[in-house]
This record gives sequence, C-alpha cells and structure tokens, in this order.
Amino acid sequence: MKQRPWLFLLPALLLVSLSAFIPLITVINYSQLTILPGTEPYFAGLENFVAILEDEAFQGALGRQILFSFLVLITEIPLGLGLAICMPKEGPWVGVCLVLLGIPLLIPWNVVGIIWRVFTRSDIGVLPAFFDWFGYSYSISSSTFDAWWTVLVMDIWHWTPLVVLICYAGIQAIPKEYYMAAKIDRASPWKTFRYVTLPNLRGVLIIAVLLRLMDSFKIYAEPFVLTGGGPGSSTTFLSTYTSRMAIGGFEMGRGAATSLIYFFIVILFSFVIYIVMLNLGQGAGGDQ
Amino acid sequence: MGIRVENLHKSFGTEKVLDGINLEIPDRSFFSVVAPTGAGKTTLLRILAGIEPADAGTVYYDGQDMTDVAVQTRSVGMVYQKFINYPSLTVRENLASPLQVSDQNHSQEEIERRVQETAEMLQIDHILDNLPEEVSGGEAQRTAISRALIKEPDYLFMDEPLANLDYKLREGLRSDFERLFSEQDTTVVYATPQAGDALAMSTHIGFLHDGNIIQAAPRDEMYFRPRHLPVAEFLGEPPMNVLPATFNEDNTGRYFELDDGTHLEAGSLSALSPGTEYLLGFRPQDMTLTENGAGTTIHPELSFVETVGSTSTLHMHFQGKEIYALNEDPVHRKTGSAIPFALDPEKFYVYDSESGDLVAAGEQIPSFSQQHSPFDG
Amino acid sequence: MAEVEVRDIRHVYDPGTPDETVAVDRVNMTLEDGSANALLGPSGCGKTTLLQIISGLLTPTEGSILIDGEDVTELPPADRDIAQVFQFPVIYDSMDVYGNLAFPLRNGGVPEAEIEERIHRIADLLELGDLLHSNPSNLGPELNQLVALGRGIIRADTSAILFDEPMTDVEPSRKLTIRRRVKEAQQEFNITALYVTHDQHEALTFAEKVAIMRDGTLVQYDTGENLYQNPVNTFIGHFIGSPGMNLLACDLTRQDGAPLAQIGPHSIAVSDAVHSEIDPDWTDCQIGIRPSSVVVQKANPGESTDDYLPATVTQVEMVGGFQIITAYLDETEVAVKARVAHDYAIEEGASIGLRFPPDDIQFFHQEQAIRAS
Repeated sequence: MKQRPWLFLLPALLLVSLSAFIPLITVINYSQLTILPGTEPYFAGLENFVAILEDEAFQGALGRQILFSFLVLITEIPLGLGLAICMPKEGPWVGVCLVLLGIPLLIPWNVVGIIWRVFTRSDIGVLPAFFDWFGYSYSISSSTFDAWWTVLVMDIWHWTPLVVLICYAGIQAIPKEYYMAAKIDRASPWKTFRYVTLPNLRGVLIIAVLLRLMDSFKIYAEPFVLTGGGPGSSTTFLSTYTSRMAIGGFEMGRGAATSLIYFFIVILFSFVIYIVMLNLGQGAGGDQ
Repeated sequence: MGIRVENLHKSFGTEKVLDGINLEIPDRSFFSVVAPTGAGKTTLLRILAGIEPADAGTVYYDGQDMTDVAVQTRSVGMVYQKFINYPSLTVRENLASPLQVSDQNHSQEEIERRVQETAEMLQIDHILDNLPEEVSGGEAQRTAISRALIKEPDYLFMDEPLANLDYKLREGLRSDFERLFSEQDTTVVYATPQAGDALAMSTHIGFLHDGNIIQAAPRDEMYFRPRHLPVAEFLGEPPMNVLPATFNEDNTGRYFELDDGTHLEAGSLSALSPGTEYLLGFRPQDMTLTENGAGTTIHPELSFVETVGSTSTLHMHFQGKEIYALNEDPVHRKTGSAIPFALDPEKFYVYDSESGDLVAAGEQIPSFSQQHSPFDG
Repeated sequence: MAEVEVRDIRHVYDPGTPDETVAVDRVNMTLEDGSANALLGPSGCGKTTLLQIISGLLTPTEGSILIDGEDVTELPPADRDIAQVFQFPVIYDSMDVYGNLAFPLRNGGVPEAEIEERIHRIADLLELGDLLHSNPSNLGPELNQLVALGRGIIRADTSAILFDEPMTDVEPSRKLTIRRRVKEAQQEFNITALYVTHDQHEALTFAEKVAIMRDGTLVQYDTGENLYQNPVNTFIGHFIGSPGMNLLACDLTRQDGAPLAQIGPHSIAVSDAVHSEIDPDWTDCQIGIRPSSVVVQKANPGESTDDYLPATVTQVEMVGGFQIITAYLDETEVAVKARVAHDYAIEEGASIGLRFPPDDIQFFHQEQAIRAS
C-alpha cells in the first residue's frame, strides 16, 4: 500500500534516466577514452581534458561565449524589465502586446537563423541595403564586428520577449497596495521602482537571469545558420566548438570531454549568479 | 468510537513538531486542539485523519490501529480553513458529490433525501441551486461543512474552519456547531488558535505546547483547573493575569508578598510552603471593582479602557506588568487613575514558579474530581 | 490632522449594464479632526468601496469628499495626504525598520536630524525602539503592521489614516496588545482615523463613533454606547453585541388602556416612557432586550417568581469571558439568550426564571425602534 506512489513515478524516473542519466554516464566514460575511427578505443585518463583546456580554439570559443552571454544578459534583462513595466496592465491592449511578444518565441530556432540569414544577404537582404543607404558597407561574411552585433541583435530580438513575459507575470503578482503605500509615502517613480518593484521581483529576476544565462551558453542553431561561426571563428561559441569536435572531427573522446567542461562551466556560472542575486539587496541597512 | 493516540512523533527536517503525543479523544466528543499559530495543530489533525504519516507512534480509532488504513477507506470528513467547494457545481451537486463517488452505491432517492436533510440542518436549503460563487462566505463554508457531514463520517476533522468568516457569522456558526454536534454521533476534532472558539463549542479541549499535549480534559475542567501556566494564560478572554509572589505566614496571617512589598491575603489556599516564590494567577472576571470586597484591594493604574456594549476591558499597569480586568458594566475613569480592585484569594490560582504546574486553586473556583487520565501531561 | 467630510456619496458599479449594482447609496458622515471612527458592516455592505472613495482610489459616481473644507474628490491618492494601513502589512523589505519609518520623510526632503527625532518619538510610542535596525521580514505580521502604522503617522502633514481590516494577519492572542498600541498612537497624535472592519469588537474598542453600513446605506453613525443602548432598528440591535439583542416577536394587548407586550401566555410590561408612542393596534412588533440585561434566577419552588417568566435552558456557551445561556420560554417557541458570570453554575435542561427589567426593553415596530419623544 505504502509503495504505491513510487509505482506512479516509475515511468517518469525511467524516462529521466534514459534521457539524462545514462547519456551523462556514457559521456563521462567517453571522455576518458581516445576514440579514433577504425581502431579500438583505449584509455586516455585526463589527457583529453588537458588537451582541450590547452587548445587555443577552445580558449577563444570560451572567451567569446562569456562575452556573448554577458552582453546578452546586460541588454536583455534591463530591456525586458523596462518593457514589462511599460506594458499596459489591463484592458484590450494586454492581449495584443502578449501576442506580439509571443511571435519570436514561437518560431523554431533554426528558422530564426534562416530569417536573419535572409535579412543579411548581400544580394537581397534588407540590412546591407539599409546600411548602404548611409554609406556603410555592411557584410556579415567579412566583418567580425557586423557578424557579432547581428548575432547579438538577433538573440535580443528572439529572447527579450521571454524576459518581458516573466517580468510581466512577476509585476502583476505584486499587490497593488504596495504602490498605493508608495504613493502615499511620496516616493518618486525611481524610488517606487527601487523599493517596491525591484525587491518584489527578486525571485522572478533570478529565474529570468538563470534561464537566459543557460540558454545563451547553449546558443547553437541561430549563429550556425546565420554565420556558420565565421568570419573565421569569430562567432564560434562553445556549442559550435563542441559539436565540431565531436561530430565534425570524429573525436568522440575529445567531444565528450568538451561537453563535460562545458557542463561544469554552465553550472558554475549559474550557481555564482544565483548566490549573488539571492543575497543582493536582501535585508539590512537600507539607505541610511 | 473515540480516538487514541500513542507516542506520536513528527519532525520536519530538524524541527520537532510533535514530540511524543499521547491523547485520548472520547467518543462523540467535540474535541478542540488549541495552540497558537504554527504550533503543529494542522500537522496533528492531518496525522489523526490519515492524510499525513507520522514518523513514529500509533493512532487508534475505536481501539483499532489505523496506521496502514488509507484515508479513502476510513470514515472521516475534513473541513479546511479555506472553503473548498467545486466551483462549477451547484450547492446541491456539491453536497451530493461525496455520495456519488463513494464505493457504496447510493440510490438517487437516498442521495436526494440526504442532501435535503443535511442542507436543512445547516440552513442552506434555500441556496441549493446556486453556484458557490453566488453565495456568501458563511454559506460557502456551511456548504463545505455539509459536504463533509453528508457522508455521516464517524470522525470529522476541522482545521480553523471559522477563521476567514465575518464576525457575526462566526458567532452564529459557533452556536450552531455547539447545538448541531451535540445531537450527532460524530466525533469532532477541531483545531483553532482562538481560545474563544474552543470555549464556546467544545465538550473537551487539549492544549498543544512545545510538541506535546500538556493538558486534555472536559472544557470546564480545562477552564477552571488549568494545570499548567501556558494553558491558564491562553484559555481565557481576556487572558489570566499572572504575578510573581512569595507566600508567607506570620502572626498577621497568611499572605502573598509582591515584588514591591504589597501583601495579598492568601485565604484558605493550602499546600503552599512559606518563603517560596510562586506565580499567582487570577482571572480578569474575578477582579471586583470595589474598595471593600473580599480579600485584598489593589490599586492598579489604568492605561486604557475598551468598552463593548455593557462590558469594559480595563488594561492596567500593576507591579511593572500589564494586567486586565473585565467588568460587567461600562467603566468611565480617567487614564492614569488608580482603580480599586478586590482580589478574592478564594479565586486565586497558584503555580510553581519553576515548572509552571498548578499548586493550589481557590475554594470559590468550581471544582472537579482530580481524576487524572493516564494520557495527559 | 484634518476633518474629513463624506458628502452625499453614491457609487454605482457597471452603470447602464445588466450588472449595474449600487455599492454605496447616499452616504453622509463627518470624521471630526482628531477623532477615531470605525466603519462596520457585514461583507458586501459597501464599506470597502467607501474606503477606496475616501482614499482616492475610486472616483464616486456622485457626491464629494472634503478635507478641511476643500473638495478633493478629483485628486489622486498621493495629493490627499491620506495614509492607509492595509489588511496585510505593506513593508519595504529591502530597508530596515528605521529606513521604513524614514522613507516618507526622506521623500519629502526632511533633514536627517529631524527625521531621527521623529522616528524615536514614534518608535517609543509603538514600542518598536529595540527593533529599529532589524530586518522587517524577520519580525512577523504583528510588528510589521505596527511599522506600517508608524510610516502612516510619521509625517506631520498626514490628514487622516484609514485602516482596512488591519488585524487580519495578527495572531489572535496578540490582538489585545496590538489594539492597545494602535489606540494609544491614535490618541497621542490626535489622528483622524477611519477603521474599516467586520469585527464589532475591534470597531467598538477603537472608535469613538462607529458607522454601520448595510446594503450600501449608512444605517447608524453613533457612539458605541448609543449603538448598544439605542439601536435605530432591529438590524443594529442584532448586529451590535455579542450575541446580539434578543428580538422577540410579540402581540399587543391592552391592560387598563395601556399596551402590553404579549408573548404566548406571557405578558411583559414596556417602559412607561414609550407607552404613549405605541399604537395598540399595531402588528409586526418586537421587543428587544440585551442578553446582559436579562436577569436569571434559578427556579426555587419555595420562592415567589411572580416577575420571572419560566424557561428551560437548552444551551450554555462560554463567550467573551461570560457564559451565554439559551433558554426557551415555557409554552412558546421563543428562545432568549441571557448572560451570566463565567463561573455561574447552570446545566442544560435546568428550569429557570427570566426577568426583563422594563427600562432595558426596546420596542420595535416594523423593525424600527420606537423611542420616547
């Protein structure tokens, strides 16, 4: 009788172990091996990890990844929060805004890449034509700068709506009494934001930041379709590097080791940000 | 068909919520579990009902060990603080639902008859065809209670069911419950942080303190013989006043000496040893506003009067403490003035200053046979 | 503080639609400068709507709100200088208690030295002195509610404070202390206050005058004593008092030309003063008497019980520090509640005598109180 709940959980547990746990163990196993086509795999110990950490291509991809995620976070979070605050809180326009915000989120990732690929094509693209008008020669395939900001803008276009939706839901959940009290206390709009909106959104913002951090670290399909990681390796991020290593280079052992390193970096960053944000602005002192 | 509980333990993480509870709930009693918010009443109720497992200990219904009996097969009903009704069903359908889903096949006529009977008993028969959102809070809660009652459960558990209701409705329902359950065969266990609710409705009261039921007894015995200080201080409206006092006897008589040297007559209170400090309790109702009453007259300083209708609650400073007096007539006196109150020693409660156990009680307090059940404190 | 006048306020929700409801109907009342007032009524009586109109969250369909004679009906809440204490404590939890109390003053550019002095005065009064540098999220709802109150009264130019069922989150056993501190602050600072609640005990202990609303209208706005002693109708009689007034339907008979209330076989004399106001041909009459005024006598066969009506006890409850007896008058279906001391020995099923002192009897015709002119 008492065991019955476990029976209901069994299918889910099986699924999770098949889809996550077993692959993880496999990857850990692979990462210790040298696997070359045509030969038996043999044990390599930490060799793969050392080689990857010393690989300049990896270091470059990691550096670009951190810069990219940083830029994404410092743009999308404030922008998303700002838009959420500006959104109407009731009436017919709420629905309109939510639908508009939902559109980018509904498009599959590679399709987003293709849309932007079309935008940026040198022959028929909107962007080159537009910049040409101002006398700026835009080229995603030759200018690192153009490739970078295009990937950034694409990500911002694609994912800011998610931040808006999360923040909007958070703002709607703040009791209106807080705002009434702030008005009665003569708080300026900035102080109202600082002492009412922001503290009440702390939990929601932690979720938004973590989601965006992890997602931006995993970015793959869009830049792959848009720039193919170029020009050169200027828009090659960790995921692109990993898949090239594993699938393109047929080096499964190295690929597995890269994945693990990648996995730990994401966890480490998420954990640090989570702890920092949890303690931010919590409690004591105020502004005396 | 009472409930017996042996050595019940429950912890959440490192926090011990229930720490070895022993309790006997008599058959067909209305038993209130009283404690401040967060003391573990809800947990105890859930374990008794079988919704939550205990870490250790046994619950018996009518002598039968219920540990391995699932809630679905027990004859229990539960009412929560929030009125939980099916929003899309009418009150009539809400009432019928427990009978329709039960294993026993009730005939349509029987369901209709019982819905009608239960609705009439709780006076909601005029709203049977309304949806829950169309009825008032009190009616919604009575609907929820009817749903629990219609199964005619042997045991009914209620977790602060009156907490979210309007004052006047509460007052009405308190009275209804008292009347209703005295006619039913159901054993009711009722959790509340309100001393008033427990005193108004219960036949029996158990007081939960630090994970233990420190006293459980018939209502009047709980009220007139609170055996431990926390019970005395909680079960009363307003709460009992408590002052530290040293008992002494000399050629002037037997008396309590307060911190500032004031002597209070000790009357016929027995079992006290001279030179010992006790905690002296007296109920706000037992303070008589007069210069010449029985016992010693004290003069506390009035800080605040609350008058409701014909009664006044006086908040006063005395011996560096806040004490209350309840007076049957309105009191019109100035804040800061000294008010004479006669303290009759025959209405005193004397507690041990260390353990907080009752040492002596005045002769004028209604008495009870000091028959201790093996299960309380 | 200031005087707040509610003038002919009427508010209709969804006007012109099938859902049209009149929430507040022609309410007039004046909250005198420095007075403690309460707005009491069952849920759905319109008290919350009226509160929102006074605070400025709602603009009334008709009528006006005046603060010290100035019409503020169209002003937003911020410009009315009306503070509010809400059902649950509204606290800025990224600041400590001191920061919370200082917030309204800093926003108004008050010098820090003055802020500090003012905070200490208020903290002393509310007994928050030791907690000034605590984080409010560790303090629990009772103390937070006091902090919220402190923020309301800290500004010298607050015109009034509205309390919206502020005891909702307060632990029952702590209510007595919190009520006292709130009341002491009101008296000390001469605060014009309006306290909205469904709990008559809170209303009557806090306020000098209590307004009772029912179905959107103001039924009686009066002192607690008058509401208790002289209710204008049976609704107030029942609503005020715990339990409410006994309302006993009666027939009128004549004795020596004077009307006499008749309940079944029992005749009850009405006070001499109201006699002249009663038309003996009236029907739909009730007499009302407070449970605290009913005199109970345990039946004693040897004694004469001339003045006492025989009755049988059916229920004994402990309510508010007293015992409430419910007893049916013999040979009738009429139940009477009577109050006796907490240690009065009485059992269900006992035969007792009840006496209604004529001066304590109210007379109602068609639910309206009949008074001596």
